Amino acid sequence: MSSDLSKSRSLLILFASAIFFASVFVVLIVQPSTLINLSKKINLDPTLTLHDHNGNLVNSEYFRGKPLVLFFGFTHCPEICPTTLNDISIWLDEVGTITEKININFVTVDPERDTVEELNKYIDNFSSQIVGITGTQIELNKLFSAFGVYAQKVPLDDNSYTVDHSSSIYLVDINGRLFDIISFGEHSESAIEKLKSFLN
Amino acid sequence: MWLYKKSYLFLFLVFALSSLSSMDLKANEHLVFKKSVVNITGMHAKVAAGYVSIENLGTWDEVLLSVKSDFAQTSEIHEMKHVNGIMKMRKVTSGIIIKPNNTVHLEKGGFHLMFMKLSKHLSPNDFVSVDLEFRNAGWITTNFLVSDLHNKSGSSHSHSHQDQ
Repeated sequence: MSSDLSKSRSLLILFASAIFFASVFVVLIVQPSTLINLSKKINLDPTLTLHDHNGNLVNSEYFRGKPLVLFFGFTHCPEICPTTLNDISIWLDEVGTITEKININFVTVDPERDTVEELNKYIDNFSSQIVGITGTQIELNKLFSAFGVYAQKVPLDDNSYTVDHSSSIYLVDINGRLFDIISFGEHSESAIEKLKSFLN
Repeated sequence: MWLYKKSYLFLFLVFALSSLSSMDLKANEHLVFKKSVVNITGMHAKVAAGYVSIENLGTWDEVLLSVKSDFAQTSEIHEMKHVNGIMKMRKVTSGIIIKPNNTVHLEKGGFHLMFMKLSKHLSPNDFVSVDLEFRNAGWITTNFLVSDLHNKSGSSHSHSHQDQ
């Protein structure tokens, strides 16, 4: 009898543990972007080695010392990415920020197609303040991991693919702490207010 | 008796006229296309998104099944979904139903036409021809205005027309 009770208790504990770890997996792995913890320190891997759209080296130091604006996307994205980059350009005009004061970056989630050359052509369509960043998948994963960015290739019919990706804009202060995020579809007034507050 | 005959005649005329009207509409005229735009991003664009509002004036359901164009190697109907801060785009395989006397909007953030591997250079303010396949109406060719997303003067234009 006692043995049955102990067995049942063990099974219950096992079941509860399974549910707990499944929940942790869903929250942390499947939906990382829902876990944005404002003011958290963004710990960048010191070995980070990426390149900007002009081929210049980008390392972890590059992301320090200036207010940082980061958006993750890809050049084959027909709608969200160009719209967001356009919006950033318009908001910055409203805020009146000069290049020296702020570090604005478009980081690719599609390094396979977004080479330095491709990124260079693409970035040319937007504000000259925006810097395109690419690199190997391994190096980019270091950055994705630091920000909790989700990026997943999805095959399409014609041997091509699209990339599901986090759509938020990340604002990081000069101390490397996440100051705020601007969500996709957020009203312009709200985004401009956040940027003004971020830069003041 | 005379009144009965007149009523029958009236009903017959109503039926005949409505049938005639339906027959006319079957010649693809039950579909009206508005705000037809193809958005590109700069002169080096590899992909483009197409937006259009399709109104169904008919008395039956219509279904948008597929799309083709001569300026892209692949043209598909896609749907954009924003779920928990993640942007997802998927091909629509079951078509888009347009109910009678309703309008379906293919627009930003939802259903849209996706043109991939652009094979021709598209210039803002040009018109490009797009073929849309419907379950009842068959293939219909309509013109889309090319708009450059980074050129606000281009993107602010919209064009309304009806094609057969």
